[in-house]
Amino acid sequence: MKHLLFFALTVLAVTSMSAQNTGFFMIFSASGEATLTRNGVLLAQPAREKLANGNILHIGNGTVVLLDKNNKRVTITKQGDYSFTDIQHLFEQANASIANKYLVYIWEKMANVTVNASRKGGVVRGENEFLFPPDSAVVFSDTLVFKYLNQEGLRWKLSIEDISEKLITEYYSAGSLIIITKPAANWWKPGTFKWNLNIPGEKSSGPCLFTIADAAARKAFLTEWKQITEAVSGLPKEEQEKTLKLIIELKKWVP
Amino acid sequence: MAKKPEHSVKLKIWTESFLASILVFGVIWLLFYIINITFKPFNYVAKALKEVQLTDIYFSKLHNDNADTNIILVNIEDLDRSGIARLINIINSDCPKVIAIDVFFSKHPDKAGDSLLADAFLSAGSKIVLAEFYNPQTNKPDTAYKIFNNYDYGHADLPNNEDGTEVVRDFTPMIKYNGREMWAFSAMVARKYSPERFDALKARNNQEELINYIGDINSYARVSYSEIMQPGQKALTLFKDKIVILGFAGGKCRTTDDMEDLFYTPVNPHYYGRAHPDMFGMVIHANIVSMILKGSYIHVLPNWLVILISFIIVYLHVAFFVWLFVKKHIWYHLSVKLIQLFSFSLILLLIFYLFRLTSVLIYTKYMLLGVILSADILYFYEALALFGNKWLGIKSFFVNHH
Repeated sequence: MKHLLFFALTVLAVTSMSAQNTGFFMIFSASGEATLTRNGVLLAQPAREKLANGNILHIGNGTVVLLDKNNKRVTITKQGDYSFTDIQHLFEQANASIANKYLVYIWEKMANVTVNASRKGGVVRGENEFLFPPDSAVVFSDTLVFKYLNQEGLRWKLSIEDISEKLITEYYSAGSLIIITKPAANWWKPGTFKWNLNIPGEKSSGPCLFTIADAAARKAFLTEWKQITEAVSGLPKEEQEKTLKLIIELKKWVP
Repeated sequence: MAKKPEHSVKLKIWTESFLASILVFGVIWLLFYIINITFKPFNYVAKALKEVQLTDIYFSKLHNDNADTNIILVNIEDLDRSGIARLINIINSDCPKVIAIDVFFSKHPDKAGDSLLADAFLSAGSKIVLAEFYNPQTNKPDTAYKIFNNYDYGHADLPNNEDGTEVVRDFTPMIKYNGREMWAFSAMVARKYSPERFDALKARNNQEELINYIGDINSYARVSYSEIMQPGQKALTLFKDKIVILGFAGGKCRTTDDMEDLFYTPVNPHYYGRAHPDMFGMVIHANIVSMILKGSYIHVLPNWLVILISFIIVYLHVAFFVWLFVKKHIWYHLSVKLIQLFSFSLILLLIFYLFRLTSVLIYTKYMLLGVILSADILYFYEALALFGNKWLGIKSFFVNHH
């Protein structure tokens, strides 16, 4: 009996394998709202990109599958920002021994860990969430984000035109985000442009204007922004954020 | 002289435990027999026993997090024939090793689409693997789905019942019809990629092969047709030397067939009770291809060996239970329940470890049921021992020491 117990404990005590210190993980696939920030640059379509130390993976309403060098896989669906260390922890769990996973499974079954939740007894229509710059927005940032909660995986199109309605470029996405960054957009220069959105089965959005601010406008914006932040600095933090958000909305800024 | 009685007691325990173990196995056999006969019209118990298998826990909870980067799945959604033809041309321009099309093309008045498809197949040539259907009702291949000649076909049948509610745990590597060998779609894909690996499958000569799943759809890189056919798409570097499987993996479902190409598999996170089907046919084929290419076949231990191992395990348990029953009866129930819990968990863990390391699968229904039932069957054995002692004068450890 002692021998049997010793053997059993030895088997159960097998510790989890440490995560492979690969230096990077591969983003195998990404769907829905998922972005990767690398050296301050936001990548809207992170699939097949490497995730290295210092990078941040943001997951909104989406799924990202990561691989390590042994083709071990981790699938993340929980919303949030994930650093390289966070991902390493997830791989440590994935690389855990069978005994480890088995004990967790047994424990969950023994503890009867279940979450009671009710579900919708109907379908959702016309509740798609949009997050676009407002019409006549003034862009001070080097990034423009167009977010459409694409629950049905439709392939939607964003057209950018110049002020004379000449088509400059088109962006497509089957996910939820189109992110345009200054370094990646060769058309990006100060001036006024139009954007037009096409979602299958829905009416075209009609053109909206946006202006990419020039150096003088940026300077003026920074001065004004400094004055505003100083003016609201006496308010409680929550009030400060609320007020700044309201001012941004009223002035149609994309800071 | 002092050791002689102790030796005798030990011998009695081992001997009677052997007899009690035979009784346990007799009861198990009777149980299965009764369930099979009595419950047949109300098949709940038999179904419950049949539907959940040991490998389901393994694939569902413990080992479904690998990936295969050699295979890329392309979701065709509701693309028509001419669209599929364009898609094949784009994919082929990136020099994949195999282009497998898990789509049935029936005789249909789409001349333009068929013509474009024929051209696309021609340019891809020997890389193409197409799907055909062996109709189990007529027991012959359905020729309506075989309109393109001179290409390699594989039967894309997956074993199931007519309602599609069975769990897909295995596949038929080859169906013989009129002397023609119809190899499975996945086997034909593997054959194109690695003839040696295909030969290994052939050499196994099994009528059915259990599928060693590596995971769900997330185990494979998957691309939507719209990403590939996007206007202005730069030259692809995704498919070079890969196996590309075109098929349906969700989207805007248009036909009943699209909905029916979804199966229950052991990878399903809910491995018992009512759940949604979890895997598209294309992903099951991909899992089979991965298994063939890795040579990670599941080896099932022969039934006689399973029974022998089960008997030894049950015998050891019974021996200990007999000693507890007779010598420490006050602690019997508590101790037995704890031992059963511990043994049950440990046996499963060891079986999972063995499966992980060697892909050898040992069915556990006899050993687990034996361990569980043996504690109660000992009461029945005691009654038999008392009866034998009273009426036939047979000596028993239960009578003399209890």
